[in-house]
Amino acid sequence: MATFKMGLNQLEETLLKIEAFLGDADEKTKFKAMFICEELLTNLVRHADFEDRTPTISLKIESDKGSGFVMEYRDNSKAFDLRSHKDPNIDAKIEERELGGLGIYLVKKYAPNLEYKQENGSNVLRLSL
Amino acid sequence: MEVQSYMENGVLIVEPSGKLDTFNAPKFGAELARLLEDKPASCLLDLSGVTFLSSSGLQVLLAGAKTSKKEGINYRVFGMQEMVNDVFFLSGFNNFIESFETKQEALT
Repeated sequence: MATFKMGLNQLEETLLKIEAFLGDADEKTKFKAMFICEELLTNLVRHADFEDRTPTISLKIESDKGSGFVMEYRDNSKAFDLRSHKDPNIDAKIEERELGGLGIYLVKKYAPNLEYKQENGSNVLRLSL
Repeated sequence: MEVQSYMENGVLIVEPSGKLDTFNAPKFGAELARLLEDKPASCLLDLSGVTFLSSSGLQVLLAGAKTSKKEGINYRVFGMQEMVNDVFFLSGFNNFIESFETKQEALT
């Protein structure tokens, strides 16, 4: 198990540490895990509103024999349940196609068991791969 | 992330390699946009060396497809590794970008 704590200016080094921790896991599972981590953390750095709080961001990853990994993600930004985020229209013609929402859409596809709750003022996401 | 490009039988082939993630995709995007400014008749992306694709990489592929559509450039991709292909199809990009397994198939 490992816990990664991240400041808003530590996105790249945090993703590299996570990648190193995942090590020689199954390639597909590792790809999905890195995809989810990148989308969640990039989205947070770009869009999250921490109001007047000092950003606290953590990601706990445990190996799980049954699946691959169990991840618990926490941040203290404004409440945001990504499960309710509107999905993009992936059947749209190219002229109408927009990229917004695609990262979150794919996170939900790769982690259909995603759970969300608010706990002590933090967004908490749990998922397994 | 490296980007190579060359002409083969009148087709511009662009070959990014490494991760198309939030840190590296912008470099590929800038290079692709520059290459498409010359309005080649065809642009074929060789994605065989791409090991990771996030929504930042998808954004670059989409921008290239939009420019190509506008300029009448025949824009296709080939050689995607399994999970890159998975992201591409889950995103519905196959609706507007033709993809092939090999360069030979893409060129015929």
